[in-house]
Amino acid sequence: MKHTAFRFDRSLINHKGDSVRYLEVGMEAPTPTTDSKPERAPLDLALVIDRSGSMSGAPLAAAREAARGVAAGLRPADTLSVVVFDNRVDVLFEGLTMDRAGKRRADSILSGVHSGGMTCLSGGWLRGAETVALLREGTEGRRSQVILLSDGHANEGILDPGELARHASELRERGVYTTCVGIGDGYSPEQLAVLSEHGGGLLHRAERPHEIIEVLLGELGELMNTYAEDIKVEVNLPGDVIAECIGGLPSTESSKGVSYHLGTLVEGRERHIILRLKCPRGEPGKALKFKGRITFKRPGSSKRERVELKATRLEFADSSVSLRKQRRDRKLSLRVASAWQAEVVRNAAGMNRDGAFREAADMVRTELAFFSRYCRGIDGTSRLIQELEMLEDRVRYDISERGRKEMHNYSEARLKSKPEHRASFSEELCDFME
Amino acid sequence: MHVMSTRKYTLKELESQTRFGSRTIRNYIDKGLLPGAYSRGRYASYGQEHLDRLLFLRKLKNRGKLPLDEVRRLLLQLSPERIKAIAHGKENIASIASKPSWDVHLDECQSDDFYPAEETRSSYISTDSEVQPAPQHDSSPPPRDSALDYIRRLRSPGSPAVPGRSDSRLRQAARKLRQITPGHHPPTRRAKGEWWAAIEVTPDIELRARGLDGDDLAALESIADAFRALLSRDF
Repeated sequence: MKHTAFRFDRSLINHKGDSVRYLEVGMEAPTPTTDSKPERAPLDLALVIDRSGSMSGAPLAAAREAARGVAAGLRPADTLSVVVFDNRVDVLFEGLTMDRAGKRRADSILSGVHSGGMTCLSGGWLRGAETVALLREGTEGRRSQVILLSDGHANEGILDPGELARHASELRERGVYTTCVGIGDGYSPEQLAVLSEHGGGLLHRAERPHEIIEVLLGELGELMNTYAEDIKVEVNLPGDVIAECIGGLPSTESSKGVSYHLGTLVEGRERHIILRLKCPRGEPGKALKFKGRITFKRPGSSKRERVELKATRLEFADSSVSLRKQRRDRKLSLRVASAWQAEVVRNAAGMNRDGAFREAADMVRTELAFFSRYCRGIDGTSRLIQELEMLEDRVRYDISERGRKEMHNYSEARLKSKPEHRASFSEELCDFME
Repeated sequence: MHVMSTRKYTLKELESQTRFGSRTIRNYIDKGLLPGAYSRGRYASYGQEHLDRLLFLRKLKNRGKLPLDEVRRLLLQLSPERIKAIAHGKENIASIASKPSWDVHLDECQSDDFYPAEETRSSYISTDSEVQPAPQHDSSPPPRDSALDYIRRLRSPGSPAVPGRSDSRLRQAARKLRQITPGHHPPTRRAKGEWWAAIEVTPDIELRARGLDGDDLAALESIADAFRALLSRDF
């Protein structure tokens, strides 16, 4: 890693307990120069395409076109598998080497994809994962990636998001990663989000057919320039400290602390996670000490690399003056506010989808009270507050599914540093809450 | 004789005793894993059942990943006494939370001890070591089986991941229900989870729903009737 960060927004806490502080864990991948760029590990890519009835017409045509574009962008050492599914799962081709002949063959087979019936998402996803897992057997130095394109809500096979999450995590730990592209407004954000979040990838959104091509080719570019995969942040927590990750990443707990799974990092990019820590009481002058490390795999490698983070601390103070006047990292506080707001937006969108309108408005109002207080004196936060005030009003009523999907996408982009591959995309939250 | 505990807890007390944050606790209430608070607002109070369930969930969480539906099922099946016994370590959680074979490797890194051991999670000595510019290799053990083995086990006959396998009567009925409700969308879900309504369809199948009012309850009854009629047909 080029840079890492492990720091608090403020360094003093109340000795009587209950202080809330925000810990940022940040990392930046180096940008290789043309000379220093290492040879990219061969990529085994499986495209899993939903061909259920709702994909008929323009979406399926765009998915076909995008798959052709992906085939054209792969190198001769790479392989491509394409799996299509409705209530039946068909492998169009498996492990096709992307030399000139392979690309020609892929192109001709892809033109024969037609739409069908229901949506067995898990069956298609697992079959796609199997095609790349097979190519991993007995070999070293290959990367295995599944990209799943779906516009629907699974109604066959494994439906429970929790179970999908578990299998995606297990495959990620075994070196098979999953990224999803949700098409249109009908896809299940829960099912696709857990597959990508636990599968070490991202959930992209393609609202219109032509965006499928933009998103898929954009994602291929990301895959070509991945610096680290399966990134894990481990934080050792002192006794009685309660930690919550803003945005709720997949995590595992141990007796020493918590580990968060972040997915991948592309060359030259930054990634941050923010932990909200509730602190216990303590003796003035004493400190809570925090240690952390980042572990990750380089593409094509099964070995995990580790970067130890410089230990940081929070000191107990007994003077309300020193607590109030303590120095604050304003840039970090702005990042905290941005992540916090994104988390509230995502939760509100989910509750609105569930029909819990009043509860969603209550939740936004409660968060807003704490949020406004945190933002005092931080430049750039007034817009975030205004947007939450607008959200509180709007979330009382049924927001369109498109609006909810875009709100979810807005949050994912801020919480996970997700790149937006769509050319025509609004970053204004107010545009989605029509 | 069972004596109901009348002890009340604040959200803060629940946080400190269970090590779940307030947002997580509210989230569990939203998802129906916990009953709602006894009173609302800043001074909302919670009872012994909340504490027991949270400590139980903590044990379950420490043991590994479990689908939400499975957690709900466990909470529904177990009596409050057993939840309490497991929560407070009088009964081993392994006795109820059996795990699929592919989860076995998790046992190595998960402990049943909810409260962290003092020597491992007290206070850490600050060191002045700088960020390591050259990454070291991590020695955490990789999973025992390959991705291919895992997938093939999952896709073996009888697994729900693959369509066209032997369907249970329930799955057949679910499919029939979907076919007779065109334009199916995922049902809306209320965020409140104070109580569950249970309507028996057959001696071995029950419909359960939470947060329903009178009209919704009547609707659930009629769904149960339709479901019962559907099950009695020969598919």
